[in-house]
Amino acid sequence: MLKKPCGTFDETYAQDMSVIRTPYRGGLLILLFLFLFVITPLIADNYALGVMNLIGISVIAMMGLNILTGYCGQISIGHVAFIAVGAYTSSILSQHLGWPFWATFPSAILVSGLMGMVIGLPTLRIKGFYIAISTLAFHYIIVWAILHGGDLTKGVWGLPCEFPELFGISFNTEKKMYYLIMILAVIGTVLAFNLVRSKFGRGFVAVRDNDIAAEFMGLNIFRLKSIAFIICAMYAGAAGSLYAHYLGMITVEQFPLIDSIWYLGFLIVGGLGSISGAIFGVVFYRLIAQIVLFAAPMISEALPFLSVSGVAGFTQMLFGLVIILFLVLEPRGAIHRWQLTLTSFRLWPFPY
Amino acid sequence: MEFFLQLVVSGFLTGSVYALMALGIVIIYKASSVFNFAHGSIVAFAGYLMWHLLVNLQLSFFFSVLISLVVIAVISFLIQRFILYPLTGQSVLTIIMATLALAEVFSGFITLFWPGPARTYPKFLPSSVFQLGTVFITSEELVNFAICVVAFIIFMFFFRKSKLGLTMRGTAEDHQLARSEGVKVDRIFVLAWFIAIVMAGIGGFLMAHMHGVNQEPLIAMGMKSLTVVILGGMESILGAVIGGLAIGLLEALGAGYLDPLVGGGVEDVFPFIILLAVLLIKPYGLFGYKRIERV
Amino acid sequence: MEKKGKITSVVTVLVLWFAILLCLGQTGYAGEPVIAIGHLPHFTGAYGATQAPFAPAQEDAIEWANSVNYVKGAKLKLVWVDGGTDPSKSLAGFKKMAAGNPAPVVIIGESTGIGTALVKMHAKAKIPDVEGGMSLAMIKPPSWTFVQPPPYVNQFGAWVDYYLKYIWKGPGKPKFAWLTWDNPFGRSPMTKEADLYLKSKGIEIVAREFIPNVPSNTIAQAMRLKRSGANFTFGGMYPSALSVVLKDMEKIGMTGTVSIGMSYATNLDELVKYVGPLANGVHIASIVTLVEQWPEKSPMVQKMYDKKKRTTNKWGYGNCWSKFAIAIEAVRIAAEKVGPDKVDGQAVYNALISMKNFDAWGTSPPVSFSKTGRVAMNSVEIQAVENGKVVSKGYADAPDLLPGGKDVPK
Repeated sequence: MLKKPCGTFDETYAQDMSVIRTPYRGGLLILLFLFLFVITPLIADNYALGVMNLIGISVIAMMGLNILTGYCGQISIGHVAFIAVGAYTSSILSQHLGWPFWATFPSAILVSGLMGMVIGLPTLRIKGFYIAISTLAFHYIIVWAILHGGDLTKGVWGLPCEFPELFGISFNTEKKMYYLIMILAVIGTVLAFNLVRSKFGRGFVAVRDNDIAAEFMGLNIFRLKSIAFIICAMYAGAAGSLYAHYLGMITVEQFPLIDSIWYLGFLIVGGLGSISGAIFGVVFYRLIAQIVLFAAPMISEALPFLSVSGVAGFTQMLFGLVIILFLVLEPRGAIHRWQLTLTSFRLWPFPY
Repeated sequence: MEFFLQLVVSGFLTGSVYALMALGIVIIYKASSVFNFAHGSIVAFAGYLMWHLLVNLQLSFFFSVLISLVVIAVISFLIQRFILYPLTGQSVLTIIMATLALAEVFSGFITLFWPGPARTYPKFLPSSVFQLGTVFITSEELVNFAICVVAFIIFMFFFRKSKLGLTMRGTAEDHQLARSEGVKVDRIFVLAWFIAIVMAGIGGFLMAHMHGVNQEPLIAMGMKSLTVVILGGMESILGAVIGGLAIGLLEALGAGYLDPLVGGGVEDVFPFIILLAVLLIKPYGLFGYKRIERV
Repeated sequence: MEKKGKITSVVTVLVLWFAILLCLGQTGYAGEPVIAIGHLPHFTGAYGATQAPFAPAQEDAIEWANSVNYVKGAKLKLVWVDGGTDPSKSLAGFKKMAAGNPAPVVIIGESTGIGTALVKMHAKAKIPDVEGGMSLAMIKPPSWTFVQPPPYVNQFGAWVDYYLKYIWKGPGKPKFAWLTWDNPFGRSPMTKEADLYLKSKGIEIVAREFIPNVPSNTIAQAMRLKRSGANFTFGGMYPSALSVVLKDMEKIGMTGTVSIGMSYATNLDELVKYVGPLANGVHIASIVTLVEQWPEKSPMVQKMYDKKKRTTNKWGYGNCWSKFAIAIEAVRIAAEKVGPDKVDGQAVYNALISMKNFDAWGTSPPVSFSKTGRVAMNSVEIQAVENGKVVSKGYADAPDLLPGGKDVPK
């Protein structure tokens, strides 16, 4: 129902390009909006809203990584460094210059984007894992720069950051922040969705699938890879800025390398090169982390023979096993399974 | 001059341990084109396992090594059977992420069974300090270096001359093709993982002499070997060794000459900066195979 | 489709498992009001190894307090989540605890980075934080964060005073060098005030040496230190890192020529285990009572350790106890003031700012807070390794060297 029935084809360009392809899809979107902006704020408590906020920020960050890795095929394990750049730009501007949120947020995106351009430069020559490790180098350099930034970054002490204020409203509660983050996350998602349907998006896919062939077809692959890096960094910058304003306090320890790797990991769990896959990956990541949080004290009550720190190790093992399970059962990402299910409905009862 | 010489010698000797651990990654990559993110955790796991057998159960050195080898063989089989086999033919990125999840399983396992602060091995090697001119060297460092050289020679020979080694290289090139030539690809993978984990184990054992058996530093050291491999070139045994020595040297020189200029902390960053520069000139690492891509 | 069947069965098993866990989780005390005390330790991730002894300690401290009816008319309940040394996990964990039922009236935090990140959250949620980490942002009132260890810079001051008074014998003034970890924890004593303090004592800083997080080769740092001719050093490092430095120092023959001082988190027992005789002469400005003195100073810790047949590292175990002591004492004061069934975050906050010279059950130097003072201790216990044994050198006053502190030279 979410796909057009078997044997129905698009007849005009407008139909082919339409986003809401069937009425059911429109209905689903409306339901999603209702869930996000009406139902959740009504029923969720502060804890649930906090988790949703975290998910929202991660979704924004993940959109960027999805464009870079999922669509353009460039592996990056320096994503958290870009987020850190965004966060620190925001905090520095608001702390040292007193800029308001509406000024720091775009600046964070801009500065982060510039960094992305610089990091994208080596893609001219470097490929594959080698580019991944050069982004890793970027991570270490950023961490080093923050630690040695003197008064600008306050080094080890961390920088405070004000709660955002827009149009006279201070977003100082979980719920207000929720609306801000979700609206930005939705805007970011829509932008990403349209970007990948554009000329650039198609170019990215061509570069991912075979960059030499893409070059033969007249695409400027260096330019495309650079643009992918810039866009990825801009999304990360936006996420970082929001994160800083949301937390109110950032230190360098909040940007560990392992988070970059997990972003990549859950992009794959969700499904590379798919917007909904990326969102699913993030939601899955954050939720499973919550389940682990909930489970640990309960397991320790249920299995008293395990030591408490042992339980933490146990849950960590479970976390790893669940991911392995997902990868082994559905190596192309959860979204692939979803597409298969949809298709089988569409073809039913005559699968051919 | 005295300062410089000491830095160079110490840097090289430390680098030999990095090289040893990097060999493990290269071997897995050569046999199965999997870039193993779990290497650090496996290094730590092997270190703890040896400690458990040697110190906790009070077994003799010989038996500990024997049991370790059996355990490692079982683990290699399990990894192959339950992770790599079902993922045959899937995108490389997926397999890499599976190794990352594997890392999580290993470190969870360590936290579960060996929680708390670091363990220490009893002293095996007599630790004494030699003096060569103005340069000081400890016996531990020399042993590390010797093991590294021996491992390097063995693997060089193995992959160049032995049938098994050549089969492994062939398998990495193309799984399907190897299979059609009658190679039992599954077994090759198991073997590659076995060798790699053993290498990780030796590395972990030597590192543990330096830091004690401690999860976090061991994992960090394992991660460092990823850099080493990239610098040397992912397919190259020689690259792993040269890369390891180079990173060790760069760290020492960075700490020696750049630290006072910029206020410290160069040791962690300097190798990466050099790495970036090298990659710009040689995009496949120092000794990596240059891929000629076809469309 | 075989695969689909597999997925379904796996999902079913997972759902069932969590359902069972949820049912198991619904236990509680009947009758007496239950006051929850939160704990946000990091059992996995980078701090995992160091904080593993906190796991038995958190249970034992609460159990002991309940067994002696420490808070009259109420039972204490432990609520904890594993922060995993991960800010986003810890943040969510904090929120989970804060929204729980019963919500904790005080949460014990265990990390500088994450504690700093949560400063505003604690104030907003009106739940005080008894924190094992320490940063400037935490101790700025009106924060709700109460820091247990004295700032590292104050520990540094105590070590300088102690060194000048008891160790330095030579003519003239000694030379000082920083020898510390290149991370937030290691660098935090290196402030302007620290420089001023040395200057006022006429001591010259001859070197600043930084050790990477996971060192493998520190020969450059050691050689520069030797060349600089420093007499004593200060810094913050875990024993595993310091042991590498000590071995490299031995290599170039400078063992025993420098007095090494460290902040409190350098566990000397561990250090002795790693490097044996090389550890001789290392001093720390400790906030954890010497393990050998438990039987006289804090018998309950010894009793619980023996009774539960604990085998974990005693230093970490005792360190965790002292944070629980502060939290539980605050709850006791609050319960006396407002009644055991009305204890909330605000009441505990008021109790904390009124705390004066509390002995933390003998697990640490005395603890005081005030309306503007967020730092628990103004003295430390100097401990040192002598002939392979860790010994106490007695309490030493820690000068207040925070920005604007009273002992900062003008």
